Amino acid sequence: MGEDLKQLIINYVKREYLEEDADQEITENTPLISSGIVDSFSMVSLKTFLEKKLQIKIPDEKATTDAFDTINNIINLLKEFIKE
Amino acid sequence: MSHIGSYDERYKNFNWTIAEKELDYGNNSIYNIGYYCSDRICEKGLGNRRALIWQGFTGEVRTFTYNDIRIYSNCFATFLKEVGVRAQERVCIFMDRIPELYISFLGILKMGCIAQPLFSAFGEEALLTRLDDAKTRAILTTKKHIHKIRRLRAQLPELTKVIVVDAGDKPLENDEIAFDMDNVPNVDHFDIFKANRDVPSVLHYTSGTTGKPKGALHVHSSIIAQYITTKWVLDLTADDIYWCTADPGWVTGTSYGIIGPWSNGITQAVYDIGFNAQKWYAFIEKHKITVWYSAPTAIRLLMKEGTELVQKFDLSSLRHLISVGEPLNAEAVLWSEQAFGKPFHDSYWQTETGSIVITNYPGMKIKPGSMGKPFPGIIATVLDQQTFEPIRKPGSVGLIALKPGWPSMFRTYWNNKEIYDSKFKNDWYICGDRSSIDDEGYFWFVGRDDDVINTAGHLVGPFEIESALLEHEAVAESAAVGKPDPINLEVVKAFIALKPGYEPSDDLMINIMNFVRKKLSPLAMPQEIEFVDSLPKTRSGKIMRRLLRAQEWGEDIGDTSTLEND
Amino acid sequence: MAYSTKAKEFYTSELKGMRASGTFKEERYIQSPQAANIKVEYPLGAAPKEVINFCANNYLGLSSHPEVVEAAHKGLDTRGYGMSSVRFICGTQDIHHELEKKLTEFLGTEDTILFASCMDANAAIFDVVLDKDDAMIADRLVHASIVDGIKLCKAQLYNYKHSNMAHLEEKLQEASGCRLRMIITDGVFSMDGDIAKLDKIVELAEKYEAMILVDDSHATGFMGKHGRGSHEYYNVVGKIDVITTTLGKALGGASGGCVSGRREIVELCRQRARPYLFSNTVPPVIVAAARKVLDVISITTDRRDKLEANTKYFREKITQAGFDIKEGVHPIVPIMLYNAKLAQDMAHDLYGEGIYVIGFSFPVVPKGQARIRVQISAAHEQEHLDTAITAFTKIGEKYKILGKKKEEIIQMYGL
Repeated sequence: MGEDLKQLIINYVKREYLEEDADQEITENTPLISSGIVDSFSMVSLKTFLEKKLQIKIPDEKATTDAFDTINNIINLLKEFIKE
Repeated sequence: MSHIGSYDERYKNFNWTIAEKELDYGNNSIYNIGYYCSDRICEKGLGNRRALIWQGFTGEVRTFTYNDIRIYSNCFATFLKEVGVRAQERVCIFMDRIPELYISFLGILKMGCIAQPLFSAFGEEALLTRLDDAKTRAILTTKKHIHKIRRLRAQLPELTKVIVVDAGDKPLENDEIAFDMDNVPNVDHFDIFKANRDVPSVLHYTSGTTGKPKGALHVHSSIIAQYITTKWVLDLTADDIYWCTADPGWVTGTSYGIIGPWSNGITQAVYDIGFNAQKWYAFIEKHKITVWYSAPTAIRLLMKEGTELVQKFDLSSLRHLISVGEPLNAEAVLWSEQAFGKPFHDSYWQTETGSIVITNYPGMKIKPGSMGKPFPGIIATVLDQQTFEPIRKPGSVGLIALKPGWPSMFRTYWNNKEIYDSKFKNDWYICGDRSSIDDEGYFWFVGRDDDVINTAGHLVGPFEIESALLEHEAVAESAAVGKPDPINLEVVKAFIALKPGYEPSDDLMINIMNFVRKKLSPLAMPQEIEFVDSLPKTRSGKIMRRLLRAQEWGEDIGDTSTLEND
Repeated sequence: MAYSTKAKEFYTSELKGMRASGTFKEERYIQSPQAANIKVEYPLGAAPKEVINFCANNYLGLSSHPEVVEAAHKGLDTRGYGMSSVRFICGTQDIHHELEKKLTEFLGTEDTILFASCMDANAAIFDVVLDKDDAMIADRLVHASIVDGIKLCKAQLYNYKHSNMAHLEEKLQEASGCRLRMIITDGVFSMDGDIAKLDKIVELAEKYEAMILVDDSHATGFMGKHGRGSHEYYNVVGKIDVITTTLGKALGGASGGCVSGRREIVELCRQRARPYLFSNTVPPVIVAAARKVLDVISITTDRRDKLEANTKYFREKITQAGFDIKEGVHPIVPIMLYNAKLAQDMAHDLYGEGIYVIGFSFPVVPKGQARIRVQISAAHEQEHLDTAITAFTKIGEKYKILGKKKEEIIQMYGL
């Protein structure tokens, strides 16, 4: 699951949150929220996107800004909810 | 002992000239905020005191003394003058919370222009509306945000100066100008524009129920109120390290993130970072923050992370906590006492008031959940919604109203005198919020008096969201309302009827959410979308937003026959 | 056709008499915009000469200010050239009303009505507000336009000695039987640059229940902390019932004037003032530019502060150079020479040095009071002032009057 999921999130972040001509690279360790690429409001659309794509529900109390700050963090969070 | 001492004594004996005298306001006919926030502090021999401790999200730290911000702001002012910007033209600041934002703000004022800070997360539509309305002459921005402006240039003929403050060796397009404050000669002396007291200084846009966002125009003498409220409510003293988490794209970030602390000669810390509990606590610990001005949403986000996290940090430097933006619920006050050993003090004000008008003071009894009492010099009451007469009976809910005349009151809405005038009834300024007053004079917030959505302390106008939604190819009609949210007080929810040929789907929903986010801002993005076949309307065809809102809040809809004639 | 030889001869001899007595006035052609540096063709036919201008009423340097010129262009483009009507038929535009509002705000009064000139305003006002049962108590040195206005009014005239408050009080007592009384004065007197004692006048007006009219043409825009005028200088804003003033001096210097003051008086002007009723008002282009002027001077005191600093500098330096000037704070600096010919000759020599000033003598000023009137502007830079002081010193040496007292100059040149 790891690589596919990673690429899915990277693609979404790049498509939705970065300027087309931005020369910024996104890796699994790039801070997203604390760097301002995704703010805590925009996080909701990322969360909704993942919930709908993966057919899961992430409870609000788990969806902290820290849990969403890097793609690695997000993958770790998702692991709790995705049935193998 | 706090600066304010006894609230009752202060209230009784107050006169704004007290603040003017402390500031030496008007000495040598100088009224310019830019002077009082930098040159005057240096003239008092405090040029080497730190004005700004700035930390970026990567952890990089830069420090600026008062002499630094004096000189750098002179550089900005000189530069603007040299490129042909004229006094009283609008100069927009559109950047993240980098040092240039804070310093250029003073530079813009020093040369007599009107500073128009805009939230850097604004999308193109939101930017266009505000730059077009203000007929903005110049914009200061960064590489990160220049793209949005490039796409709007053709629609903004008056915007002739586009200035990039971090261009480095990145090539600019067309007539864009690079200005790097670290790489220009120091300007030790600048002839500060001798603005009169009531000359416009800052233009902040704010949202209403109907129509486009309106520019609340402030004047230089607003500093009188911003100075004294900073001193008495935030209780800042020379040794404090103060942190205001607000972005200067909003009024808190200028009144209390620039003008208030700097006119008091205080050291303030700025953290250019999104919300992150651990990093925030680490910041407080590292810089030994003593006074912290934040917002209920942030506090509730911190609550979510628990008290255990708090205990991992040494936050003993914290001395005084204040909150603004939306009503601070009692739970948050109680939690902060538990977590930090001191309560957050709620403060109430708005873009139009320019400074804190109702608040809880250091040393005064806090009633958790209450907004507190009017600031000295502010005459506040609640008015009957029909007669606009003050309601004397404690506990009755009415419209919060203030007697005009405090120094930081807005002077008009840009290009919109009619709406400005409509905000005054019976010689009271109507804030647009409802509250009650208890028998001890404490104000208790009830809610807004209109359809404006207060999300995380920011007002978002439903009209602006609906207009953006209508531009989406799939949307036939829509209504945007606030729905309750445990963290943000309210978040935007959109009811959408689709055009024929479009079917509700998850992809479409996410697509629409992102569409609004990019056009307007993340704040305006609906966090929930409900697809409906049609929207409830009045006989004349107007969408009944209040009905939908009441439904979200589980409120009694009441007599819908009146709604039908709305 | 009855322009008879007799008529022609009569007029010719009148003109000849003027030439002989030295009161004949000649125009000098300026070939540039009004500014600190101008190009003048003088005498007529001579090659144009670059000189520094010290005789314009361009106190704030706004006559050719780029923003004002730009506003005028815009006004012309958006509101056209002429109105072809008096105000109350179809000669009032939104911008006329706005300008009146801006003037009211700036002057700190209740209402304002525009006139084509301050001359018109002064000619109109007295007949509008006073009748034969009323009294006009006027300073003896009021401006010619007020003298004309007074002539057109049936009210009884009392003159008091120039700025003599005891005499004014006597006259107020004499006029105590009249229905209404109005004290009439210039705010600043244009030949000496002295300011009417408005604080005292207000006291007397209150004591004797008299209204006050001030012609503030030489003060509006720069006297007082915010440049509101001599009423602000004396801290009596709101206590002057009628202010007449001009757009033709500090406020851009084109043309136009106004009556500003008590609401009822201004309203009555709109009903009765003959120059308002029977002549077009200020054209759109001037109105648009004047609005800009008021914006410029309402937001900052920069210009009036610079004027004040320039005035102080020039007055100090010229006194140090050994000239005898009328003391004061006003940008009108009268350099006293007493003898008419000396004043003319020195002005002529100064022109040769590139300094444009005018010598004034009888009948413009009293006999034996001839002088050169220097007018300082915010358009002047220190170099301009220094150049002038050097030139004055040079010419003063030539005529050997530096450091000389009044009596010594009179002894040398006669009266």
